[in-house]
Amino acid sequence: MNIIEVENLQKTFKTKQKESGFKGGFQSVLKPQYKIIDAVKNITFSAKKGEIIGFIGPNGAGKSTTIKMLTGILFPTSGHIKVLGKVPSENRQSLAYEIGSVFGQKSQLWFHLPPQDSYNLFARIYELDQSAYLERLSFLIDSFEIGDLLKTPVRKLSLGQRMRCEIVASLLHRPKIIFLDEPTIGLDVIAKQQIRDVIKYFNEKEDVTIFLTSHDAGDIEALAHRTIVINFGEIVFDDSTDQFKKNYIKSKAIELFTSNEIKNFDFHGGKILSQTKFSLKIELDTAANSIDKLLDYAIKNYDIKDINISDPSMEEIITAIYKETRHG
Amino acid sequence: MSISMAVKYLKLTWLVQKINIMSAMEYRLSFLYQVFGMIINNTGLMFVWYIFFKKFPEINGWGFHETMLLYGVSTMSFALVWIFLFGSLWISSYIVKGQLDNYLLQPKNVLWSISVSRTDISAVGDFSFGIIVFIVSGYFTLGNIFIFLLVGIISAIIFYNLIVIVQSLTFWFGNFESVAEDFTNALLGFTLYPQTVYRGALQIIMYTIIPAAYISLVPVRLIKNFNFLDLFLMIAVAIITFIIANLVFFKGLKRYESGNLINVKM
Repeated sequence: MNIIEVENLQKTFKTKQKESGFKGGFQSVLKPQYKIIDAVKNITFSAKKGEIIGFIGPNGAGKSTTIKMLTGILFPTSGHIKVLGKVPSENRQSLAYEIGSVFGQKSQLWFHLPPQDSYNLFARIYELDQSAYLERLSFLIDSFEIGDLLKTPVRKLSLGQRMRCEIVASLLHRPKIIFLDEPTIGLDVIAKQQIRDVIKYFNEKEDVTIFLTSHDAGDIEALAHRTIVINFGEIVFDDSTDQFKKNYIKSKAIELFTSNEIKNFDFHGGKILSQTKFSLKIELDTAANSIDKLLDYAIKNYDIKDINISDPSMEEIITAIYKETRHG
Repeated sequence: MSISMAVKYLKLTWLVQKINIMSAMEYRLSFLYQVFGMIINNTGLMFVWYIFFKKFPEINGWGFHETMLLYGVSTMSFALVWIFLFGSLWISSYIVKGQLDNYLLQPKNVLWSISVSRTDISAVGDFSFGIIVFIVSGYFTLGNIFIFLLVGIISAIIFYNLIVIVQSLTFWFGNFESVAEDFTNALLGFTLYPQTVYRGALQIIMYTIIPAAYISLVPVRLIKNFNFLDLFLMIAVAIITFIIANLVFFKGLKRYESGNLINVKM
């Protein structure tokens, strides 16, 4: 059964345009110029119960706009949406009882109060049975390891701690779907990993469908069963994450910094992207060779001072997708 | 809306306000300063009127006692809005900053969620001041207590509806915050003058474009000599403005564009 259905969905915004400077400002008052922006152009997709969907794309691709239409925040310009059989723009309130949402850039918790106070209020707003709520809360506190944070005002929490508390808030009413918009934005590696772990845990344990947007391909690699890539408001890829990885995360970028001069670098599958006397940037084809072998090779041949390993950026992935559609 | 639904919403309103007040109490000194500052501020204003009426004992049939009564009703009714529905004054700012998102995600009427999202603590001072002024105004009788509370609540509802209408225009006109704020201040300002000073065209304005009369003149008239005509007039205005407020807000909501500013709930 499809839990989310989206058909020919479109959203356009009318944005005022203004020349820079005072004169431009004056003109925009007298004769405003508008530009129509197609934030989302005609997208169609669906999701099954229990799936983790990774919805990715560069900044401004239409990720947030889509997620806001799915949760009933924005009215679509045209097209159809059904979430749990309901039309979000018409049944926003009743849908809200069944979905949870976390927006990385918007806090649901009261800034000056400890999370516990916000949770107690949410329990009343969602009309939860008091004893069931307390049981649920203590379970969530254990799973998210936020026991120590409950009595600290939110303003004093770190970003990662706050994000865990936010996700707990969205899970209190046992939603069937969780929408996460950039849940790992601004987090360090460890905090990111913690968030990914708990998302995965709840998906497996409670069969919660998860719709996740990110501009970090790492989130998707670690979590999503299926990946949808959106760019300029259009879906450019929609398939399993394995397929996505096989096709587009084929390489890693490795940067080496050495204390002796780098000469005669030669490693199968490694392509030199840039080189200075004491540093080297390599793109490694992970199908041809592995990272540990490259590192062995590097340590054997040079005095390594520092190493950076990174995934290809969203932009590189998008470029690769376009190249493929053009050639294939 | 059924009665049980209304009771549910009233109970929730109380719970949300408790949280808002708790949030304000995080800063104890500022909390106390706001509450007592407002009482002192209002007393000062009353004192100005006292001196004024010492010199000119009457303006078209209104003296110091009527003016006190006016202050009592209007201060109490706007304090009710500022305490329980203060979020309504933030609609414009929420729209511009894309902050409606949080409230749209809650499983409740979104206009309610926004309206109760804030509490102005200093209004507790206004509220107490309104009651005190009423008690000492010379119109304090057992029967009048009931009428005072009744018209105070109806004026508060009218006041709230007008705020929602003006604030919601932001959906159409973009950055409308300062205009909406000016309107509220104008409404407040016009309310707090002896209503008999308004004559002719100005009087018509007070019943129509800036309907301050229903929040000040009519309630005072009702307390001075109760009549059903005025009461029905007030109730009718409350219902009509409520319908308009809901129409404007929910029609505008379809135009909401959200945004990606980083938001927190204060």
